[in-house]
Amino acid sequence: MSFNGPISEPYPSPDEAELATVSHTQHGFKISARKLPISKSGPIDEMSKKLGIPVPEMIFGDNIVSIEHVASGWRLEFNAFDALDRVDKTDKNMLKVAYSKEWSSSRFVIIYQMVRGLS
Amino acid sequence: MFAIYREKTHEGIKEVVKPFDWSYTTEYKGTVTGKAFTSENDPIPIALLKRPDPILFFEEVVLYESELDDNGISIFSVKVRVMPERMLLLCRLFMRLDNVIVRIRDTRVYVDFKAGKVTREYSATQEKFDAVMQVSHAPTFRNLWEQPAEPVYRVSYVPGNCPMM
Repeated sequence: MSFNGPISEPYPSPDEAELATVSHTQHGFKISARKLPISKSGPIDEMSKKLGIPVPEMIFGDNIVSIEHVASGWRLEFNAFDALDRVDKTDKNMLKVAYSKEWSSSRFVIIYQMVRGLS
Repeated sequence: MFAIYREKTHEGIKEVVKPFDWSYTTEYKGTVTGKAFTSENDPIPIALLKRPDPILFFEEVVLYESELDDNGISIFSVKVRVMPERMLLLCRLFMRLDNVIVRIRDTRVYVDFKAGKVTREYSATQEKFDAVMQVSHAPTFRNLWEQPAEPVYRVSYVPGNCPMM
């Protein structure tokens, strides 16, 4: 294995995904949860490109929780990609961090003390 | 050569600063295949969920988490609990931007197995950081999984959000 360039590992194989999935069937409903490790750089880049926004530091792109009605095929699934696709991709809901004012004033004090040789 | 390199760097930077809601607040209520939810559902019977029924299946799955460049936390995860006659799924976004705001986006899915009926409710709450700190007993709460009832129900509802889908 060469270490030139980014480490790009494939998505988990269907077998791995199957092994990481726990299910419970009751009254015709199948409830499943798939827990896999944090996504690797290859899938992260691909996801970010598709979404058009950078993804959070910890992204479990292969994790799924689902409720399925076996007879009708009806299914409700929760996954990270679709959730991130519903994040506002404009500047309309941008928040501002609180410390900027405080931080610049404390930095001023430090610089002032340094200049005056007080620190 | 230098000029070309600089131009490329500049392009890269432009890409990075493209605005988006970096708190990763999402309105996601799940991905449905098949029949869509209607708005005529009865509310989820909370009292029935409080009964000490045996739990046959329980899972908690994190979908994403960000520390917002050390300014707080945004965590999106799903919990599911199955009892003999009913089940509840809670999908929660918890977002805390330190000294600014706390947000919770909850999607609850309730299944009545006997009736074969699925109900989905969505609620969006948010409150100023200071106000939540006043009612919360946990001074540096990381998320509200541990003590969901108190702070969640005290924070005000965001107007204009449909509580049920």
